[in-house]
Amino acid sequence: MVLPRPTMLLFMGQSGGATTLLIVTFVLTLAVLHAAFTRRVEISTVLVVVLVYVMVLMRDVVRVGYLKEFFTLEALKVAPQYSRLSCLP
Amino acid sequence: MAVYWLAVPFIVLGAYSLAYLYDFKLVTRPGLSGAAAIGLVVAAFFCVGFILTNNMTLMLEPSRWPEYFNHRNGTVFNPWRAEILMRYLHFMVSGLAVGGLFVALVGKYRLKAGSEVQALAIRAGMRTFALVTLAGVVLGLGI
Repeated sequence: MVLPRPTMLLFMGQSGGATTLLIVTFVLTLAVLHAAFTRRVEISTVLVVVLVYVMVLMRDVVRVGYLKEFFTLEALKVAPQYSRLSCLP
Repeated sequence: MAVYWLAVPFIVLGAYSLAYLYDFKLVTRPGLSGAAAIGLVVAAFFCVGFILTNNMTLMLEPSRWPEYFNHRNGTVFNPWRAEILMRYLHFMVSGLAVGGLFVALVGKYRLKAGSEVQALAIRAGMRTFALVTLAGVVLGLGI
């Protein structure tokens, strides 16, 4: 476990979404391993595709956790830049 | 990082060229030239994987970004650490697992049904997929 503690704690119950993602990943991984060892090619393929998507979401949580002290999405200012076309009558 | 990042397409081009050379000329030639060629291909792809992992981990550490101003020649690199090594191995092992699954899929849908080659492709592909995925899980626990 080399994740920084605050980021790791997100997956340990501090964030409901992150913890759910971890549980889903864990269950999917077990399902993939079972399908793989019983040589079910199609089921393995479908499960792997779903698992990759879930892992991408987990990766996003980790990235946000790492960058929290430097950058958060909430810190971005909304600055609308309407084009001249929208000003036409 | 720019130097390594921009080197990726050239390394990939070189690796694919060597792979074609191996497939068209060297695979049937006795001696070490074939093994050396395919070994270089594997090393090149491992190198690309390391560059990508290194860049992604560097992205997560803004505190190290000011180093860019001391290395404007584009050679800032994330040094070896346990975290980077585990992530790198996790990605490479996952790639190998998906490769095994791909072999099984090709065997199932592209090879002659009921043939010995098909059975071998499915068996070897799924075994590789299963065992390497298990190894990936162990490595993933280290991340």
